[in-house]
Amino acid sequence: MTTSVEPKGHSGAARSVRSLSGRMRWSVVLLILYLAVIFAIQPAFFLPSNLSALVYYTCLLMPAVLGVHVLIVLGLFDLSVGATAAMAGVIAANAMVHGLPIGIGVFLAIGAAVAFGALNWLLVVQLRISALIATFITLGVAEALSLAITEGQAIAGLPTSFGRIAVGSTLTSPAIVLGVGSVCALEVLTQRHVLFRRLYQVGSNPAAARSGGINVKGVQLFGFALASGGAAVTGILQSSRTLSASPFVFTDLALQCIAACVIGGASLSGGTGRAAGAFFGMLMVVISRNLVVMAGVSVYWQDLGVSLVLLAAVLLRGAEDDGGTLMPYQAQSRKGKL
Amino acid sequence: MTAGSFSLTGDLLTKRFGANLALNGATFRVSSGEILALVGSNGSGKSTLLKTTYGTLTPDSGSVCVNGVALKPGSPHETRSRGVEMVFQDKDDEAKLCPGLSVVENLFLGHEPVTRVGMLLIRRMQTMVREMIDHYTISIPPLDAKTGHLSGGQQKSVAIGRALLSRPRILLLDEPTASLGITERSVVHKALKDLRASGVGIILCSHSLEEVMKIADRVIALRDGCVIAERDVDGASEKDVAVLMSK
Repeated sequence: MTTSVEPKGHSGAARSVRSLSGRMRWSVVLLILYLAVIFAIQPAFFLPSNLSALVYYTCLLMPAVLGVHVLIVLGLFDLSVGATAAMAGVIAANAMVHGLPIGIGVFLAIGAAVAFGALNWLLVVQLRISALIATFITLGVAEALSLAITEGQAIAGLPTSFGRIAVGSTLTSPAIVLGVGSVCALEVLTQRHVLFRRLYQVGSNPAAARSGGINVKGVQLFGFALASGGAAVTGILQSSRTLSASPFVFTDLALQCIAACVIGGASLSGGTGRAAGAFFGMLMVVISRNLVVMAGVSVYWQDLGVSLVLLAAVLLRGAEDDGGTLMPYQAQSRKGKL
Repeated sequence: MTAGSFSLTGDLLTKRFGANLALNGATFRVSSGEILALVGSNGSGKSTLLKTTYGTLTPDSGSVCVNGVALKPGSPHETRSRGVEMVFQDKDDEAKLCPGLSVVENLFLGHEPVTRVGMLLIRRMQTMVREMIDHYTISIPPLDAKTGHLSGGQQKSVAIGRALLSRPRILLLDEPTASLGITERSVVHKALKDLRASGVGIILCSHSLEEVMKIADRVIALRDGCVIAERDVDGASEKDVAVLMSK
């Protein structure tokens, strides 16, 4: 007779948290190293006002990042989140300047975004168009809608009460509470709730999930709706912050979100990644862009900082996957690696 | 066959795919505590017989009975609820595992016990696995191991474990060792012998005569969807079984 070798004293969930945190560990290590280097070259970065502004802006982007994170876990992605965020801001602002209550404006904006998520799902899952092409199509549609509504102009003069949603950069700001709260909630739910576990199961192997009786297409619809809905929340927060809406914001949000998720330990082949990793990843992206400004370098170099961090994260993750030895060449040859 | 035992019978099962008659009146019987091997060349109808028995394929005619009571044709759900489970061939979607997830998550994939609001009952899952392991005295890889990091034999044990969670009395296995190396095969063979010892009846579809001789009690040879021969393995040589197949 043989027995299970299940270790005593560790629940499956606790151990799976530990094994998952292995993937995320590098993003935290990278963040600490990064902060140490920054401290050496640019101590002004650590002024409380700068730090709180960085955390605030990261939190403002978190709903969109987490939506993209959910899609990446599913092995999918969405290029249209930036255009959806801008569109949501425009729709909410347009409703308000036409005298509708704030709540109705927010509801319409999120509803329209979720409809775009459903459209993405229809194109990608039902019509089997590649996510790259399909979400590029909806990106164009959302951009055109925003431009048509605003006629290419920013909408200003929103009610000051709308500004309360994203006001201030203190820890009690609703934007920070929402950003941090959604990361914590997703962390718990993806470990413990069956619907959120389905994201990992479908992302890991859709055929196996389907044969286990899981509604794979339904889970994918949930993912696309979360991504677009999250983008809408970020778009609304941005409008609330500036009391205006423009069709020209968030043009590179989708790629920043994808970079953040990968820096945070997710793989584009699906089935891995954590919400907290995506948070650290976005923090790294925001810090990198900020650092270029702080260092007095031309803002045209902002994206270089993000690219270098992304490269470092992917190389280090290769080391983690290969048992801790730094062998990045293996990482490149592995299936599903970036 | 012991008293109070459990039996699964297939009676005159036929199944046609277009012009191809995959099963042509195949009949078999398996009881608890025995391993029945299905042998035959490619296309002889072994997998079709298993899938028709389990219900993922609906037979054109004939019936499958558990303890003499007929099963609803083409209903794996009913087959499972009557104590018959199947471990599919590697190439079938039903056999696939999620490589990035833990063993325990793969064991319960799609059938996790949850609270009313959908929270996973992790302790109950562990208890169920532990009880299943005790009941069948089989080995399952560490529950927290990532399935993608396991050997082929260990992955097969997970697939078998998944079938055993519902405590079946009869297990159907389609080519369980086809893609495995020699050491990994022995892992699966041991698991099957342990299952037989705990009273499970097994139908094993196999290409390997050596495997059949090593673990089966009885063998049925199929050709063109017909059962062409049946005999006990005890006392037979590999050559005798090869002759059955070429009859």
